[in-house]
Amino acid sequence: MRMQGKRLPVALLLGLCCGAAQAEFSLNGFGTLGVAEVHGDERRYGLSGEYVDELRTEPVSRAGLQGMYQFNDSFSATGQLLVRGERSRYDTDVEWAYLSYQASDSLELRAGRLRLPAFLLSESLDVGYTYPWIRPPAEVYSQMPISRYIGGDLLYNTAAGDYDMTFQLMLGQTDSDVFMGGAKTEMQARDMWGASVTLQYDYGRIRLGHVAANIDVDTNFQTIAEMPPGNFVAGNARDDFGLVLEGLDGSFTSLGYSYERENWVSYGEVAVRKVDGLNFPDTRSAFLTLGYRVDNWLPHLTWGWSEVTDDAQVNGVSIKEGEQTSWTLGVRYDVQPGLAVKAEYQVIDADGPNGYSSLFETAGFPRNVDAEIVSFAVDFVF
Amino acid sequence: MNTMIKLPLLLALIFSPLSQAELVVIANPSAGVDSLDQSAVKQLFLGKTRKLAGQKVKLLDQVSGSADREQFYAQVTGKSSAQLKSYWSRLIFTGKGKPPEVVGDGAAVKGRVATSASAVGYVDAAQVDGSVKVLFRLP
Repeated sequence: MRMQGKRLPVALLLGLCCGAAQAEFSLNGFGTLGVAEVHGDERRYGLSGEYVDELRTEPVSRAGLQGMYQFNDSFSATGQLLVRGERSRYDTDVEWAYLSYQASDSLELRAGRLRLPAFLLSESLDVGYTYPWIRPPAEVYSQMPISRYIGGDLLYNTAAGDYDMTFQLMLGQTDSDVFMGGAKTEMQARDMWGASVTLQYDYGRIRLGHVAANIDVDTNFQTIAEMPPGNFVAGNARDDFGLVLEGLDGSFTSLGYSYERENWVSYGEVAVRKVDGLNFPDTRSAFLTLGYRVDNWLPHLTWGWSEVTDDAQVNGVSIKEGEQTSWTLGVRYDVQPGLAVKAEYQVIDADGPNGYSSLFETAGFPRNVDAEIVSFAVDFVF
Repeated sequence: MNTMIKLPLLLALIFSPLSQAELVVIANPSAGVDSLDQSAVKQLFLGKTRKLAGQKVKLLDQVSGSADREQFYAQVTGKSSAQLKSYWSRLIFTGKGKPPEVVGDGAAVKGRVATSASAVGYVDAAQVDGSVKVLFRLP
């Protein structure tokens, strides 16, 4: 009894001290270090042409450092620095930088630089440790070249037993350098808004999301002749024919799920992209992954698919119904909590009525491109 | 419903060390709640709820790799250490939550719970004394 009598004031004191000043800083990091190469009919693959026909680290490597400062129960600041491989180089950027206000148990408001909530995996896209693959399936995940925006969002969370529902609403804008046809292009997105709803339960989650924006694009090229082949260009004079594009309405809608129960692991997502005009193809895309965990091993198989649905043109030629299909066989091995190694083998088949509509960089108008990609990577978090 | 109950038991059997400890979830005697069910414990330790009886909770964890920790999470959440690490990584790097603070072994957890009004942790039932209050006994 005497002991407890002594402890009570101490507990109260600690409670007071820590309730009044709960300022706390935490630092976490993640990374994927790996190599990949593509072999087949074409020599470059990927949104920025980062996959080439020799082993390179750029296609699959990235590393991030994230700091979070909790001022008190309601306010916090988060920043994330990310180094990411792209075409023949690495790029360092501030990927997240935002203030968060926890208005109530279920309502959070954030403002600053945020990840664009386009996909099922948008917010943890670069943290390879959190998913089975070395990179999320490209047929779906390359459809939205913008990864972040400046603005704010509102997250409303409501729980009922084992079920959790999150509503998100975002508003903002962005100036991004995105790769188109192998060249960096300035893309501005204005009047950007997005909404998503996520239902989370014990074994996984289902998410429906939609983002829309008004897009301006400047390719930075003065004449068609300067442009690398395969760019989305309709004509041949700077302002009128696609080197500068203004006021295109674009939207992206995705429905995805993740599932993990006992030994089974599965992911799937379908997405629809729509952009005004013929310079950006409207697309449909999907992927499906199935894996089966055996101890620390997770072998998995993925089907990925994308298709052009409008009359979009490459160098003046329609690529309607052009499509890409791929199969990926991969394995993840969990070495210890926080460390995993992965290997993948992918075969890709791209078909198009005229030219191409795949992630390959092509000079001519091949009707069919076949290739395979081999990748290895180590994922870590700390 | 049946499989939902059986799964943690099955996992606990598979992952159980040679001598299975009887684990309990503990809080400070001044805590506003006297007992929790397994679902509430799971919600807490997976970061889905952060409050008990309107009070913010400070969750404490044992060191990674300890037998008590493996057993606790296998029984309560059905997740392995690697799965939990992946789960928390997703929350951390999307700014949606922070895992329980690792304070050491069972004795260290009990010590913190005894002196911190908002702390909740888990220890071997044999370590419990009058300085803490038991909220839940793992089956």
